[in-house]
Amino acid sequence: MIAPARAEVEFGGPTRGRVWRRGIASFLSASWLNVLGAAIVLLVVFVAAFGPAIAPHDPNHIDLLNVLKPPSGAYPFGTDNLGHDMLSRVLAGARISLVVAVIILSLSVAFGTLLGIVSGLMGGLVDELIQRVTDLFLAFPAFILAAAIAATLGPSLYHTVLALAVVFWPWYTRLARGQVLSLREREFVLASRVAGGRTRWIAIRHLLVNILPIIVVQVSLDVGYAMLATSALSFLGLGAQPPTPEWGALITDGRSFIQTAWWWPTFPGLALAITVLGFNLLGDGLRDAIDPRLRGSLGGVE
Amino acid sequence: MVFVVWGVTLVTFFLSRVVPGDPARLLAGPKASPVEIAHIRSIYGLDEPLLVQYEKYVVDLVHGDLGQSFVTRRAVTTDIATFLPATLELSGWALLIGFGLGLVFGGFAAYGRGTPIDGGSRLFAIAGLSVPAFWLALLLQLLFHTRLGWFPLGGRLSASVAPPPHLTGIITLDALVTLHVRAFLDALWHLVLPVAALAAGVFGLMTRIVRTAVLDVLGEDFVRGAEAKGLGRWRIIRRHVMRNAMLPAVTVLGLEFGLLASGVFVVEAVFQWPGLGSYAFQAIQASDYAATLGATLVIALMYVITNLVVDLAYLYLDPRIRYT
Amino acid sequence: MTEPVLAVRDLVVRFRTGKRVVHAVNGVSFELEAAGALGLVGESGSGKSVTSLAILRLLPRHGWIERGEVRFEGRDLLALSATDMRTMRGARLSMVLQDPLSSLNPVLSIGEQIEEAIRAHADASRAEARRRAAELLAAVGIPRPDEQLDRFPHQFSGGMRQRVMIATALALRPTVLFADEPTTALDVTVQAQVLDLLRTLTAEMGTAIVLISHDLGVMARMTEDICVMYAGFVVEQAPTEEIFRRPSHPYTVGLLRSIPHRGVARGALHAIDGAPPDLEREPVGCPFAPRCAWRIEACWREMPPLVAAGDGAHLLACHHPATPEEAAAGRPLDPGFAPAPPPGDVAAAAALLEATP
Repeated sequence: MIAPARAEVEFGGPTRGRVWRRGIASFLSASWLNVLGAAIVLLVVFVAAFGPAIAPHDPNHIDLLNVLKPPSGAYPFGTDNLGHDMLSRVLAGARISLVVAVIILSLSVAFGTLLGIVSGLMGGLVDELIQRVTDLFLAFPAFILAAAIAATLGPSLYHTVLALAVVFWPWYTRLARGQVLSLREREFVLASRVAGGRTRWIAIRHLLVNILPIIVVQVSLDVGYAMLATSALSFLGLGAQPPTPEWGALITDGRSFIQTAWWWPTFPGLALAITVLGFNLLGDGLRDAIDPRLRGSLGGVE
Repeated sequence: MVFVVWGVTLVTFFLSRVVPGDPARLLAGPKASPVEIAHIRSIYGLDEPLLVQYEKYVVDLVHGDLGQSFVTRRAVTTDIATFLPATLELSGWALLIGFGLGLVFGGFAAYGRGTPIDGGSRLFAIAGLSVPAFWLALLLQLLFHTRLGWFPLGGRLSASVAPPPHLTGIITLDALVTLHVRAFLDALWHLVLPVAALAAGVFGLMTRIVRTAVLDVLGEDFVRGAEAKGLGRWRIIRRHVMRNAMLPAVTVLGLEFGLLASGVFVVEAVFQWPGLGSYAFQAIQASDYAATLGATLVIALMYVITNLVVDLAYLYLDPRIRYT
Repeated sequence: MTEPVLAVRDLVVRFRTGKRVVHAVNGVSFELEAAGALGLVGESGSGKSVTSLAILRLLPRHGWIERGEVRFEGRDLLALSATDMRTMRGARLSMVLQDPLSSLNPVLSIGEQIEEAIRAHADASRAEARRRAAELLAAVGIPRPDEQLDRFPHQFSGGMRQRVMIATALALRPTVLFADEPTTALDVTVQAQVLDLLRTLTAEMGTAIVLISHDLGVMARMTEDICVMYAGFVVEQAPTEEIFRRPSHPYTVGLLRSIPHRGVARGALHAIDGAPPDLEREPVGCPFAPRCAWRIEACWREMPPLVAAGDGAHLLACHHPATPEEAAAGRPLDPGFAPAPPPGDVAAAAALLEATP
């Protein structure tokens, strides 16, 4: 079928708004796990935005009259050895975890995708060079490299973010490059080679539009991983330092009190686990929705 | 392969010499005096050009010299050789259990596609990937040691049990080979909780991969062909479905290694497991850079080897690649 | 007439897709004599493959047999236990699938795949099974069979792979062989060789064959009888020669006119107008009515039964069949005749709108 070349450039098919609405509806109806994931993510975003406003106490308020209190009406998640209200600290931690993950992924996606596109479009020596550098970073297990970098830089949440961004970007470079290579021969890119100027810009824009879904899926899967890695680095003593109510740091602080105050490490961990679960469910569902191999493979018989 | 190994040394060298400002101070440790630092600097040749330093670094590396840990006051390579078997034992069991359970759950999820079994398995798998390993380790300890008293708090063997002769350093293996039943069972008993904490992630990843892979294979004509031959159900699952579904499962072994490597750090720390993870954990806490980077290098090299093994395994499992 | 080895009576197969039900097979009946050769012909979606899968009880999980009877050598296949059915499959009833590329397991050697078929039914040692497998490969015309046993599917060409599939299917000298579009995926030159091989081998072994194809040319070469299927119904059934000489059902007429064969000029080829019906609807009337030039008012209301027309061997399900002259012309010749318009019935009208673009 020969479609007019413009159809490809002008978003063939239904309008974007309708595509989105229909996409979201079919995504949610595909599995109850997708609904669960989306609900958790929305809840986490809500808590990150309004957590301090709904928290019963100031997360950094020290109350030495109420130390190591077990969960109760006044302190649903109990208190720690300084009388901090654990619920308020867990709520405050949502913002930290989310913001940290967003920063890590923004840095690595922006840098990694850009490099991947350049690599895929330019080819030749530039491609070769970028690929070798990417391989080099991918030769390490991500967490180990991040730990080594953070350890050399010295303990701080800022260094953790930097270290994780450094280990995440090559994955996006590889992903974006693969996509560009498979898209490069498509009509709209070929057209731009012939034309140039404004058309070239349009082609790059459309390249981005085509790469975006895959990147979004990868990001949604990586958010959980970034959160886990951040907290694990905190546990190694490399990340957030007290009194920052980062979830990993909260668990680490509570670790030595686990025999007497089980609630202290338990609730931050639960919050972290559920948050990561939400993002992973969302990412998993999105990948199933986008991966054509898994779509509508019920038939089989004529 | 050669390039990757070279790259790994380059990165660790870069981390050890260039990034943190004064490597001599780092090597000497945080409490060293200026005189000591100057001494270290000349010993390690840190006043020489970077290229010369790198050459020396590589030469040392080839001779198995990763520097000295100022915590244990021993060569880092000696330390690593001491601690590695415990880590191999722990992660080996975790890989085995996680891989096995992942095959079973992933298979069930695929066969029961769309049923509650499928949804349950997927939720369980993703939960396994989402739980922070160190938190799970703490929780398991709290529940099964402190509350129920079913399993020990940590360590590899009870003090009352005589360790088996040292062959590989992997206690379960040594005990099995030399028929020390009591030591074997005691070692297993100590392994249960850390392995559970470590295997959760591996299990989650495997379940997801196997589910997708089995679904792909079940759509293939040769499965229907096998049914048309009148083969038994289990034979079809084993020879036709699982054989093919194993291919993608093997390719993610590299990822599994990454999960295990990060898990080992924190899980060993929680269970006082005398392995490479604990060693690196303590090294990081004490800012013991030679030890930290030594452990990093060894783990990275093992990762490279794992990926090589994966390629070889793939070659063995897939005749389409073997004969081309 | 001898006792049929396979008799299918009023077979009805349904599928579930989402919340809807697909009426895949709607009461198919036929008989197959020992060493006979029957063709099931029809467009894709006519239910011919599903019929064969249902007989072997290999329907995918979302499909089921609503009713019907399948008698094979005097036993009711649908009443057999799963284990008994398994001992039938591959041994007494076997199957060659359409695509030889995907019907062989890529990670097992050719030998392993033939041997496992033998060992699933015969009490043979590995060495015996291997020897048999080599003989079979030789029988299907694969040179140096002993060396080939250890090779893998991707090392064979499409035609060779289909020969391997045939060897596997005939390994236990089955009573009936189902061949589902066995040559569709192959090059034209290879097609003829594979068909000859199938015919020779089944004749040698006394195996009856059920050939499924959309290709009437293949049917003419291979079969003694033909069932023409449309939308899950058998609309016409007759000896092959009779079908070609005296097609009576308008669909058969259209099918014959849509293929090139001797005596018809290239320019005179015609496609059948319209599209097959939506199988998700409960069938009402003759499913071909919306596309039929001979349709009368009754065609919209009821599906005609499959009954003898002319001599006893020619069965037809049509209210208003084409005469031989009309079949040759491809249209009704009565100048006063006009196809009956769809009735007021809303459902049927909607079906018509769906079916004709």
